[in-house]
Amino acid sequence: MSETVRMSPAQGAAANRGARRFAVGRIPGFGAATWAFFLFLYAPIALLVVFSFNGSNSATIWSHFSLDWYVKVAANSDIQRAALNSLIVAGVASTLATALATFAALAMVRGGPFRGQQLALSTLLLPLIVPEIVIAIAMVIFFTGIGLSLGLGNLIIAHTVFCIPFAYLPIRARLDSLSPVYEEAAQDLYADNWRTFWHVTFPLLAPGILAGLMLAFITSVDDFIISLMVGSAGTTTLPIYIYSLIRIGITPQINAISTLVLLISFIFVSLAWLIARRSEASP
Amino acid sequence: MTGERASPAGTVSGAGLVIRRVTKVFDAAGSQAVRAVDDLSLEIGENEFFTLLGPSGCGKTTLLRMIAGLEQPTSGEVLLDGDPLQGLPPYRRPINTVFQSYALFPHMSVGENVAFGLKMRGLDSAVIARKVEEVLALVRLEGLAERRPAQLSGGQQQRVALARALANEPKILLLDEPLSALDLKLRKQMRLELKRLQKATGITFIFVTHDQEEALIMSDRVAVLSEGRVLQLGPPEEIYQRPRSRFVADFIGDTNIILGRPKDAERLVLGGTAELRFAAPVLPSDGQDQALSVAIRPESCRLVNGAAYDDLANVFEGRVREIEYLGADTCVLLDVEALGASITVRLRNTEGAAVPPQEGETVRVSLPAAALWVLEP
Ligand SMILES: Nc1ncnc2c1ncn2[C@@H]1O[C@H](COP(=O)(O)OP(=O)(O)OP(=O)(O)O)[C@@H](O)[C@H]1O
Ligand SMILES: [Mg+2]
Repeated sequence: MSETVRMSPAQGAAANRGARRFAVGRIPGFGAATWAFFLFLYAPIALLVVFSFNGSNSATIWSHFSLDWYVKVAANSDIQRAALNSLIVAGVASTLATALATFAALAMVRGGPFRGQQLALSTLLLPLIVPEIVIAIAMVIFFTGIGLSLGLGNLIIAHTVFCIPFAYLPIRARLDSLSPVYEEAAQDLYADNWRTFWHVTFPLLAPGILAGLMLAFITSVDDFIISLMVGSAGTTTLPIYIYSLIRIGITPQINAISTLVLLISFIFVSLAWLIARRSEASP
Repeated sequence: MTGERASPAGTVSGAGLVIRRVTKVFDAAGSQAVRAVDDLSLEIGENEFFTLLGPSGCGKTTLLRMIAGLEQPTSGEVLLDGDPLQGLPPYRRPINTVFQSYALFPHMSVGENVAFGLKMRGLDSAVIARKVEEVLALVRLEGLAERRPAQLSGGQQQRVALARALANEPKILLLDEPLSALDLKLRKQMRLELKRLQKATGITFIFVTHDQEEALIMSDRVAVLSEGRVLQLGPPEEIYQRPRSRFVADFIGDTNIILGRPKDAERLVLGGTAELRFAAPVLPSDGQDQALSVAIRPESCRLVNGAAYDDLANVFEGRVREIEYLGADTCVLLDVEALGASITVRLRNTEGAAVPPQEGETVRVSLPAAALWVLEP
């Protein structure tokens, strides 16, 4: 056996870091601050999840394990209606936002430079910076002003608008890293503009589009302020329903709903992240 | 204004590609305009292996992209078999490209990549399948049709790119430095392979490279480019043996360059009393005081020893400055006072050849009159 001793990259890096490198972990108090951060972020969430399985009527005092609250949630028709509203609004709004964001990204990156390009980009990304309450109030005033009252329709329009930047960013990132040479090769091989898009641009862009769709979807599902202000009777979404329950009094039923929402968010964000990461690995 | 252009019928020579006075200016906002291709004209015949050779940034890729239709000329025109290509998008031109980075579609298998052009042209799927198999065999990639491009080696990817372009049986195949990403051994093998494919298919190849050796080995004709212009155009032997200008001479192989003034049509005066004789009256005898550059290849120079040099013309004494052993050859660098220049002599290291001199030794070098030529000023 003539095996040589090899150092794994991680070991190599560790050895490199050795003595001289600046290590942020050595600053006094850094470790404690990190632990405090984790405590305050995750302890409430952990408690929320744990007490959703509480057998008693209390959201703070543990008695025994049970799935009663989940059964109650499943049987509650108000919750079902709110969940359905959330699903419709998020589904339609995120699809629209993703389609618009895809065209916007194509125009920005592949359309060649045009006048006011920077301005267009800033306008597109504005909802990321403008406080949500401002957008909500502006929407309400605008909808009232033009007399538009489509119920869920109003909510879908509002969600589409503020979801566009969330869909745009991953699509744009993917497109930026996509060399135009593939599209040129397609054109060289007798594909006209539409077929170049369909056979080459779109499949190569798909991971970005999917990630954008999921981010937009979850942003819409999680939204509270805009849904509250723009919504009307009958457009109650899940976050608003949860909030209304709290005002009646906290029972483990809220914990159960919140845990379900948390689970959905977690799944979607993980998927978006996984897709984006997998597409980074391929060219 | 009617006489401004000659009638097309009179100027178009028929089959092949004609590039007529094409200029491409890149006019990026905020930076200086770049003249990538400058009033360039070329005629490339059918079934020709034509090479565009030039240093980085001389406009080779830009010229190819204008032929492919991926870039529009600022002025001038490109004609194929007498028809102007102006305004035709890339997908309407019977021209295919092997891109420098290969540009294989990463989401398709090798077979799908090769079939892409045929599919876009709406061919029957049975015909496509047969053609794909045939072309993959031609580039020696049988049995790899199911693989993804990422699962292939660089050389294999290069051949897929070639197969994808050849499958369409274009009139012209454009190859943009297709070998530059390969290692030396594979590159040498692919040179022969490309040459074989060109002969086998009868397709016109327009090949871009900045490697002079590659250009000389493969081409029927070579155009040497610099700063968007053609400096010299001709078969490889002519380009190598008689480069017209100093730029071409330096770019292709090593060259000794000697400065002097013509005495008459056959003799050049070098500094003091030394003279360089030519085999024929090639020197311009009118402009007396005009300095000229003449050139000779290192392998044409000879080292001559004591006895038998009297009957040789152009023999000078020089001191050996440096010896460079290259395996098959040895290069001897001499300082030759009479020429006011350094001369490199390239000797073959054959069995029984004379032992090369030592550094610091004084030797005699002969510059055969027939091997000298005059460079354009
Ligand atoms: N899209 C563009 N915009 C602006 N300038 C460009 C563009 N494409 C090429 N150029 C410029 O035109 C000149 C010629 O470029 P080109 O790519 O044709 O050179 P090349 O001969 O192919 O070089 P290389 O051997 O490095 O590939 C260069 O100065 C380059 O900077
Ligand atoms: Mg190039």
